[in-house]
Amino acid sequence: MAAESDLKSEWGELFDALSTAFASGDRQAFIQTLDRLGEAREHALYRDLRELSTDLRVALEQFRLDSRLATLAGKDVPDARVRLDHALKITEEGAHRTLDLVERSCPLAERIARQAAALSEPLRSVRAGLLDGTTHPTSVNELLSQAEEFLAVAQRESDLVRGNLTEVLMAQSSQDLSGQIIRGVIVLVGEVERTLAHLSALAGNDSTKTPVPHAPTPSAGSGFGPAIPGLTTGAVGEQNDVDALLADLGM
Amino acid sequence: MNEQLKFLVVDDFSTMRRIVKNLLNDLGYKNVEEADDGATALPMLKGGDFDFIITDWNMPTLPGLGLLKAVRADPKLARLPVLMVTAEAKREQIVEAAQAGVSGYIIKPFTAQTLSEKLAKILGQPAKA
Repeated sequence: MAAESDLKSEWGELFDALSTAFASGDRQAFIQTLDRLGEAREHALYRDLRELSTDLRVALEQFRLDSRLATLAGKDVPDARVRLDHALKITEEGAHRTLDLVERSCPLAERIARQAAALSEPLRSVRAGLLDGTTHPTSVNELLSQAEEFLAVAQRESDLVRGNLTEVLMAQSSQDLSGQIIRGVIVLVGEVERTLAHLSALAGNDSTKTPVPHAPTPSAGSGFGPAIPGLTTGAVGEQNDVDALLADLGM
Repeated sequence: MNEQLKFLVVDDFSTMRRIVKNLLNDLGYKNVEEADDGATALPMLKGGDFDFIITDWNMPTLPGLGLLKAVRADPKLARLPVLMVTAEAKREQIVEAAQAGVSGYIIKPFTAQTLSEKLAKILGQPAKA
């Protein structure tokens, strides 16, 4: 019944007018009504076509998102996991390196302090003996030898501590390297978030949302970030390889 | 060696800028300024009397390669030594940097010794231990 009433409300008026004009033999009215019927039919056709094209656009958009999502889920996200593992490894190594150097330096500084402290009592006693004339030259000589020995140790071990501090400084570069990797993953997570939000908007048939912009793809010019073992191809291993490559290029 | 040389250290990570600045100080170079991107470095270079640039590659606005090209294209800056200190390790990139006129290329992570050697080489001096 619903279809029948739809048919009547859509075409009833024109059909009645056409049939009236036909019955009364009013040729002009008949032709005019026939034209109006044709226009109405065309209009309905265009409306259907518009709907079809919208559906098609949404389907295509969905397909594009689905394929992007497949790449994200199948490659980019697993790669990101490898990247984060590597970042974790870099920071862990950096922290251990720093701790090793601190553990190595503390005993050196303690030994210098201990030996300096051990010198103060003989110094005091020799000075007191010099004042009251009881100090024998051999005690002075002994003290000076002891002081010389201490100075040599202090110099050698301070140099070691200084070197260790430089190493501690260098170990902090792990923040830069892991930070670059983490930044790359943050960009990827942002894209996953936007893709999912857009997909859910499409599922709710809200096609007014703007398409998801892709995260910028890293390139040679902008930089790829640190080489990731197992992922990065065509990378040199260490400084010697760079030097060799540059030497080949005549530098 | 000329301890008055004025350095510009360009890196978007402040930790790395501090590391390089400390290493330069250890080597006797006390005149060191910092920039956090190629885009902020370029006006500093144009306005200041810098003698040496140490730059990262991967930076958000103007990467190190772009900075290098801009420096080489500017008649006033073209002859400045540019030492790249970067985690970018692809062969194609090292070749590209060389073609763009980089003076030296160090990959991170690096050692204090490597920096000292490359500086000395570029400045034509014996390296400090």
